[in-house]
Amino acid sequence: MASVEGCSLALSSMEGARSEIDLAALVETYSSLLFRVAHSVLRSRAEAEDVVQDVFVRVLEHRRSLTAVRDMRVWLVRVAWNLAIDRRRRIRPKQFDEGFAESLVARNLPADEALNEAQRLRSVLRELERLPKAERNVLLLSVVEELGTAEMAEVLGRSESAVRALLFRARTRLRERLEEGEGR
Amino acid sequence: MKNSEEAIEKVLAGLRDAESAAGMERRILDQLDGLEERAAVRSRSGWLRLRPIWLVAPARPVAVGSLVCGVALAGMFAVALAIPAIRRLGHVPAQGRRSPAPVRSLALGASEVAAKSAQPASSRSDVRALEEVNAGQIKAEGKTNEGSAEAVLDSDSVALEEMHAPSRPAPPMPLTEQERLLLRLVHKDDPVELAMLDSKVRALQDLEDKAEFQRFFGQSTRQTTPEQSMTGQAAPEQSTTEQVAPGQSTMDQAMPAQPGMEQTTPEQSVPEQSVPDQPMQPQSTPEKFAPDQSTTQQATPRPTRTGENE
Repeated sequence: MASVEGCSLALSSMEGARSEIDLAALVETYSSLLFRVAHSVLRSRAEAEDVVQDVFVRVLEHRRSLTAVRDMRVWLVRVAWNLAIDRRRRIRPKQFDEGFAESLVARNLPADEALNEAQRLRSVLRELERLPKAERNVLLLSVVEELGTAEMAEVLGRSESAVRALLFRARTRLRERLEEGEGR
Repeated sequence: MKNSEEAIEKVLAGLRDAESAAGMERRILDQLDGLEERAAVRSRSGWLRLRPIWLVAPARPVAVGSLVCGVALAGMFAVALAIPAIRRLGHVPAQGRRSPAPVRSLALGASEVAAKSAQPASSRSDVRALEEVNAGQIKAEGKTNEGSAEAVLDSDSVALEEMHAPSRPAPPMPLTEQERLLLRLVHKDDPVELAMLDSKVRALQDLEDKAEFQRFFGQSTRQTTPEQSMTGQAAPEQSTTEQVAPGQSTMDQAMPAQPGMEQTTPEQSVPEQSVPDQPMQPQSTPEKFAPDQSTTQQATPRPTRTGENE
């Protein structure tokens, strides 16, 4: 809620003085959201932080043309999303996935159970990556609760119904594949 | 079924709850500030590059000073170049005013001026005669061509003006090789040698030298005559030329006898203290010497005297 208020404040300030972009306000308002978007793709804190920084560098470079941006929030999320996808192509995300899965395992579990849990989470991430691209993207964007269906559709360049359908199919396919894997 | 759903939810929750590292905003802002400053400096430097130098000048006093000095020097140089050109331009119209006059009259005037400068001592009558000739020519031309009379009169006045102008001596011609040699002789050589160039002076000098020679050697022969008379008593029958040993010069014989010399025999040897005195006291020693020795002492180096006496 507080973040939404911050976003609205930033937007109002943008609308009030469009000629001058307050970069500090933008960073404070959107950095956490952009970090989560990037992290959902990269599963690495350092890489996600780099992506957020790159997003604001782009903002600085296109400062004069930002007045034409209709929705700053969506524009920033799209930039972050594209940068994260581009970065994921260049790095090896498998190592990041393993580290992220281990970080999700509860620390109070016994070692054998922790290993099983980590393996299960890794298989989820692996199957997530094996999903079709559109379904995967919708599923990953849906993780960010702050984004509604309309915004997701705008970021991905699809309709809202398509986004909803893709999201449903993605979850179903992922579950089926995981069950298939457990049955073997 | 339940396990897979739980696992999916756990993974999605982990992605959803991911928190950025502490101070990420501060780091990003610092990085952006640095980028902004760099961009500003770059844009400022680009603006400085585009601006004319006199706008950039306040930031660089050294550059301003050098620029001002350069401009001042360039101005001085331009003025120095312009002054002779202006003077030349100022002279051209005066010459141009004369140039429309007929060339013939100018040539005539020039020849007159040349003649005047070549013969500065000539009288004014020549000039008048030239004027009359010129006037006659003008009159003749006036008869033939009435329309150009005024122009001819103008040319006449120009010619007269040129004629009455102060004469200018011809520029000095370069010296010939002989003149240069003469100048070198005059300014560098010995005055005695220069005087010797005159044949009369040279003849007089020769005569003086001969007279001096005669005078000097005439006296010397007169002085040697008594000496020969004194030595002739010691060895009247021997001539001096016979006593000179072959291979020995008269000068060697004239030297006093010294110990160790081959010419001196043991009998002839005298105490050493008396040896140096022998040539100095020829009159006091004739009794001590044998006749042979005296002959050696008598062989004094006077070949020229004997020759002259002969």
